Amino acid sequence: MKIIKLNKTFGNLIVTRNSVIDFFSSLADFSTEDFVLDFEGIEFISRSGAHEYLNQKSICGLNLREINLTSNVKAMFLLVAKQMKKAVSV
Amino acid sequence: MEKARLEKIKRIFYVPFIEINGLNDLLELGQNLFFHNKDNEMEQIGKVFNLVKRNFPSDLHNILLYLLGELFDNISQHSNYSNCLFILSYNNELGIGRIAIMDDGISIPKAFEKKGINFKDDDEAIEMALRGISTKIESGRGFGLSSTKKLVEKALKGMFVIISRKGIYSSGKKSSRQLNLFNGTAIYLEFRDSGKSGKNLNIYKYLE
Repeated sequence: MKIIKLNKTFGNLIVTRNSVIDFFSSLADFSTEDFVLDFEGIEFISRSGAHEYLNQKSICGLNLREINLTSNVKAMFLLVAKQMKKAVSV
Repeated sequence: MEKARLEKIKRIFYVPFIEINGLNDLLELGQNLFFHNKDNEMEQIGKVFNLVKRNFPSDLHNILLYLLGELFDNISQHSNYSNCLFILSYNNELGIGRIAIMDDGISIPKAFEKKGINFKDDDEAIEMALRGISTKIESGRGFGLSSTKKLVEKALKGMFVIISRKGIYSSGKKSSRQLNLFNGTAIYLEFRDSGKSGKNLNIYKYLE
């Protein structure tokens, strides 16, 4: 299992979809499929960034576990997950 | 962008396009908020966000970061820009915040045309984007501009303007003409912070 500190890649912000896509592509360089993604130091994630994260997570085929999410980051993930669910059910 | 065209755009907005609080802000506006050819995009966004944190009241940070995040990702994803300019200002005495973002990318109508999405004129293309119609088909797309508009107009009770190619949307006003300013997109947000607008504002309730 590999622990990755996201603030080393993103700094304190996750904003663009492209940066999230690039990050998920970089996970293929590791020999493991199990990751713990540490959100410590990530102060903000945009709605688009959170949407792309969930999208990539669902298609990458890796086992990912997130830790140290702030309440703001958590709230954004919950919002996007709700929106995605709603869009699918419409 | 040609100087004459930029002057024309400034007049359209009817407000001072750049308002600064001090020399440091002037230096930062001049040096840091101009994105060119996507060089150091993430670093530049970080600087924009830090400017918000330094110059806007803390109650507004959450909502402003949301707005900037959506607007910037929109530009990054759809516009294929070469140049992008962010202008932020906050007048402490009046509590008026202004954000302007301009890019010289392909514009909303052109992005729709490329995907075969039909519309009557450029105004309608902008309105469609604001209703959540997206060039991307995955679920959860099309919220960027629509949620931005909703937050500015409903949560902040502010003004939201988009000019894209020849089209324009301006909060509460019906456009009667097609513009011919430039080929990219300009977005302008203005709001008055009454001291209450940001307090305990739960942005998520406007977004669900």
